[in-house]
Order: sequence, then structure tokens, then C-alpha cells
Amino acid sequence: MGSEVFKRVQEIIVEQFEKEPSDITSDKLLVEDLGLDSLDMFDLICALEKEYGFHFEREMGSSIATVGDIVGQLERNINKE
Amino acid sequence: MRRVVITGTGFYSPIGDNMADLRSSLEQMKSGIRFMGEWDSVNGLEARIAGVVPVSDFSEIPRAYRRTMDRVAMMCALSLKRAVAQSGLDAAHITAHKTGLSFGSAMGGLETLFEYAEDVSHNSGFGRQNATAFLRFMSHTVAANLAVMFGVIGRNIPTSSACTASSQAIGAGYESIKYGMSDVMLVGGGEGLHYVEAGIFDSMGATSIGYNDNAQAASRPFDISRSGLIVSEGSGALVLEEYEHAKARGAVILGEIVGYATGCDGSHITLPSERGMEQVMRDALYDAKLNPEDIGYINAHATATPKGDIFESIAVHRVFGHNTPISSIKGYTGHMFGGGGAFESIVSLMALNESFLPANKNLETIDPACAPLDYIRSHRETQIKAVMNNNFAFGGINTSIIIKKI
Repeated sequence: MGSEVFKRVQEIIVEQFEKEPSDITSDKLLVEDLGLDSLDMFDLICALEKEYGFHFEREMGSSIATVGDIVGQLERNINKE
Repeated sequence: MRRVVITGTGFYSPIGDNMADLRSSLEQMKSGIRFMGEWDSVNGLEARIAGVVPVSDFSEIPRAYRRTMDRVAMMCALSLKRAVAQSGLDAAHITAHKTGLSFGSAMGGLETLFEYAEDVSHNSGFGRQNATAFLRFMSHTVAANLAVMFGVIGRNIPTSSACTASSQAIGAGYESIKYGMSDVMLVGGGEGLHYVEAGIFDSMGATSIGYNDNAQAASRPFDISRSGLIVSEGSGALVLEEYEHAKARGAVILGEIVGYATGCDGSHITLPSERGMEQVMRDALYDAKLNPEDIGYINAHATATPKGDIFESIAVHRVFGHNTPISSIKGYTGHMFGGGGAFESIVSLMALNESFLPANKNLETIDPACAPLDYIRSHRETQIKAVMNNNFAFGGINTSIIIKKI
């Protein structure tokens, strides 16, 4: 069972990139495992910004490699607020 | 001289997306124009009817390609997929160095552009915009996306000359093969429907507004009661191939493009010139080494605007006299803008191969200001050897394409 944030990230990736929910686990690499490219990464961040209402700094992008990295970033931002 | 043949076609139109439905619509004189209830909320729009392609599911296109495509590129992509399938060309041919592409549209991805502009202006600014939006609305979105989807590495010539976008694309493909730069050219164009097109032409007094309650009767090329064009959408794709290349692989040849010309009026930004239209038809005949009497059918541009149809008829009369059968199919489809030239070339090809000359829909009383021509009043079963397809665009840009039986 993942967190609420994980579930929402999973839903967004499934919807946006037409993936199967079972493909989306915390350890999955966004590029190598899920096949996202640079345009997809921007669009994913855009969707998450709309969903959670805050701005991802560009440098944060370089520290995101897995689904779990995204969830971690989001949870840290949510906890800050 | 290298000869250029057509080995595949595909299209989406308001009157069908396959040859059987297209022919049936033309035989039954059935138009694809309908009332646009979804435009009810658009403030100040007078034109309330449009030609609509009744297709919304493009999931056949893999997401990796679809993500950067607006409706216009998706219609073109699937049209081209069908054309390539018909041609029998395999992946090795499509990705060969001497296979190129030329596709166009008048407006690029208009639907995405307006959503984007509205969101930037009223909601998100630039902070939360998709990275793919520009790639969906840019003026060469069709040519760029199709090259990626099909893996084309040869020349890519996007066109964006409004109503001649796809006829110029056919011309660019024809000349690329004829002069040896390519062996195969994937060509065509399209347009996605958006109310802004209706609004733009409303503002110029060019849309038909007297038939909002009678869509079937609205588009009336050459008729005395015409009042303007009907905006519509659609796409057309053709596979052009060097004759020996097609013959060597045993391809079915649908027709040969023997003449093409493009020219410019150089006079008025919207008002057409019969001199420019006459010139482009004569230039195409010269290129084809044909005489006017060799042409058995003219597919007219005729959009049903008050002046355009008159000027076009005068130009045709100067070149052909009054004996060559002529019709505009915009009475059925409305004006597909960037898709019109390619789609109408496919209709011309049908006329050639099926000996079927479509009639001018809604032509009840010929405008006496139009020159005396052989306006087709009901469809004819007539064998012909060559057809001419004409298109004319704002900016005085003109094209004429001649296709012959092989």
C-alpha cells in the first residue's frame, strides 16, 4: 500500500502516459523503466504542479529518477506548508 | 524526364473517409455540413454551420506520437497511414534517404493554440504549461509530426498557404521526384475545425449566413443564391512515386501527375484575379504538354463566395471555352482549407479512375455573372483521360494540378 500522494502520482502517470497501474511502483525509473523522455518529464511536472499547487524548481528535476523520488519531493513540499 | 505517379491515397472528410462512402455521398448529393450547436456560446458568431469529420478517436496513433499532435496532425497521420498501406511501400522504402514528405495546413493546431492562449492569458500564465503544446500548434506541426511518426529522413517541405497548403505540398512532392531529389514523396495536408475560422471569415463577410437552418443547402458554388463559404475540416494524403520505382516493385498505379503549376496574383491580398488563375492553369497545361481539350473534367476551387466563383469561371472560360465539365465539391464538404487541395485531388483521381464526374451540389440557378461553362448539374458516368484540380488562396496564391490515366 502506498501513501495518498503515491496513489495520486500513480493515477496521473497512468492517465497521462497511458501506462498500466501495476507498472507504477516506487522503484521504477521514469526514463529507463517507464520510457518517459524529456518532454514527458516536463509534462509530468506540469501536471503535478497543477495538482498540488506549487512550483518545482528546475534543479529539483535533476534529482528525480524514480517514481519514489517524485513522491518524496511532493511529500516534503506538502509537509513544509 | 522522370515521371511521377500516385500509388496510394487516404483521407478524412465530412462526407466519408473511404472511397465507397465518398462516392455514395456524391451520388446521393449528401452534404457533410451540419448545424453547430456547440458554438451556441460563441459571442457574435453569425456562421453557425460547418463541415465536420465525425471522428474523435485517434488512439490508433501511439501516445508517443499523439502527445505532440493536434486534431489536424492526427487526421493527416491516419490518412497517410492508409495511403502508405495502399501503396504497398514497406518500412525500408519509407525510411530511405530519397523518400521525403511535404504536408501543410492553413493554421497549424488551432484548437491547441486557442486553449493555450486562453490558459496563459486567464489562468496559469507560463508557469504550468505543457512542454508539448507548441509542438501541437506550430505552423508546421503536421509535417514535423508525420516525419517523426513515419521515420522519414529525406526532404521535408512544410507548406502553410491556407487554401493551397496541400495542393502546394502535392506540387512540392511532384517537383522533388520529377527533378531527381526524391524517389518517393508523402504529400498532403489538412485542417481541424475551430469556431475561430468561422469568425475570421464572418468578419470578412465571406461566410454563408443565410442557411443556418438548412445546412444541406448552405454551400452553393456558382449558384445565384450563394452567400459565402462554409468552414470545414478534413485531410488528404497521397503517396507519390517515381514511375520506374513504382513499376519495379509491381505497385498498382492510380494515376500520373503530369502537370503542376503555382503562381501568384501579386495584386490584392484577398480579391482573386482571373488573370492569375488563368495563368496558373495555362502553366500547368504547358508543364503537362497537354491542350485544354485533353482535360475531361475540372475540379474547381469555387468556395461559393460571391466574387471568387465569378472570377474563377471567367478564368476557366478563357482557357477552356465552355465545353469542359466542371464542378466544385465544396457544396458537399464546405471548405476544408489546408486539406482541400489534397482531398480534391483524390476526388479528381476518383473521377479519372471510376469515370464518375460529381455534380455541383445546390446549383439550382447558375449566376449569370459566372461565365458560361459546362457546370455539372447531376453526376455523369463519363470516361476521361485527364483531370485538372485548381485551388486558390489568400495572398493570390494559385495552384493547378493535372492528373492523367497511365
